[in-house]
Amino acid sequence: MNQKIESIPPVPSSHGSEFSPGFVRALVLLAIATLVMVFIVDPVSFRRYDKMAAVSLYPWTVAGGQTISMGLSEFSGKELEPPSTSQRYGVLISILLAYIIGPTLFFLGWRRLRLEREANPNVRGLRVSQIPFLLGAIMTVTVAAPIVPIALLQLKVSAELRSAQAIQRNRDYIISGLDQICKEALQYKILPKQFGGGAGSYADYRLSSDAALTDHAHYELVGVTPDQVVVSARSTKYDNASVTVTIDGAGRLRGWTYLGVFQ
Amino acid sequence: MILIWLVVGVVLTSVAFFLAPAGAELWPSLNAAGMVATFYLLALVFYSMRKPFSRRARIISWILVALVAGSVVTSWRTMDATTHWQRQTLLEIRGIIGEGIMRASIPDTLLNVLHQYYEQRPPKGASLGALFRGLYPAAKEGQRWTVTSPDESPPFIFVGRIDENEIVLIGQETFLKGRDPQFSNYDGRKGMKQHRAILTEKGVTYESEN
Repeated sequence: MNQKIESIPPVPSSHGSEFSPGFVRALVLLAIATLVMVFIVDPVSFRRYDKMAAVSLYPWTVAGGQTISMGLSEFSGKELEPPSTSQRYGVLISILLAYIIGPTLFFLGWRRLRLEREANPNVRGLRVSQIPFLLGAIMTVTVAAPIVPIALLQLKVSAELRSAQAIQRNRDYIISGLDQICKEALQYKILPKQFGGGAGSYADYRLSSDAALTDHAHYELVGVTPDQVVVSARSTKYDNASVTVTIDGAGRLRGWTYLGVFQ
Repeated sequence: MILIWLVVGVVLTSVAFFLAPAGAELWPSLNAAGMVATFYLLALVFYSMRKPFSRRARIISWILVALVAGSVVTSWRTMDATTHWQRQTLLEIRGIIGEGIMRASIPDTLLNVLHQYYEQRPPKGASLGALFRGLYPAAKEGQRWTVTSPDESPPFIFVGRIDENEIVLIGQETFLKGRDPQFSNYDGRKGMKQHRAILTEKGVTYESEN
């Protein structure tokens, strides 16, 4: 493949000074650009006001936040609101700044710098024409430098979150199962013998086969007296994880004991 | 040259962003724009790193670009997957809570009536219906019944029927979907989860209607 090298007009010599004529101007512009980066294009997403666009160098965090917000709305039974115009524009501005404008200024500015140096090896110092390159470099490095540890941390946190939630979900289902057994046992105690009940006693209460084994746990009665029933639930998903509880004479659950990962 | 690249990049990414279906979430637009931005960046790096850059500089640059791009994609996809999983988990937790309320409030109420019924000395005086009305005067047939407080959130409990020997309570979700999207719910909604509990002198039976 024939590669073409653009021709660069000769750059006037700056008489060997480190501070080329546009240096001070460039420094001021760079300072302003840095302030803009810090206060407007904060790497961590923020929304100063409701109507202000959420701008982030990692726009997927804004989209993620909006997804969680929708989940919370669903959780509390509220109507779902589509993303506002400012949110949409905020995300677009973010992606343009971080992944189009920054890298373009950086890579093409770098190339231009390199070509200038090829054409005039003696040229040194900072010039106004290099400001876009510096701006691009700041933006690109701001995005690129922290992204590797961020990605690794995200993977770790996500895995931990899923694991913790899976345990909690299993525990919740088991508690719900124990609560249903409690209602079933109380009904047994209330009903007369002619309808299959215990006529005021738990004494002959037995778990139905449906209640004894579910997708989440194996339930068993570890102690039955006329006035109380002790039920134990062993998780089918986590070894040594179990919940034990006592159903008292009034059909209340008392003395919860959690073992294993449920502790 | 820089200006041309900038214009092309901004226009293509913006077009992809706005052409993606604008749904309830930002992800479709963001993903479409991200795909275009990725191809743009690859083309940009390929174009920028030609000669006079040395082969060594090119290799190092491409390794760094691959590392950063891989991390961006990992972070992006992880956030997408994790937040959607969290949203789904929130719904599931809400479902468990709703189910728990339906399986707790309704049975507690009905078992209380059943208990009172069998506590009566023979010959039995009051019917199940009379006891229910006496214990829960606020419960009106055909109406929503707030068991503990007037501002209770879903699931809603409705009093389906109060007969002398049978009481029917209905627990219904207001936004959690059931099995059949065409199912007509008690309050006129369509496709929501619904349970029915029936109390007779033989006890309480439950039925998942949707």
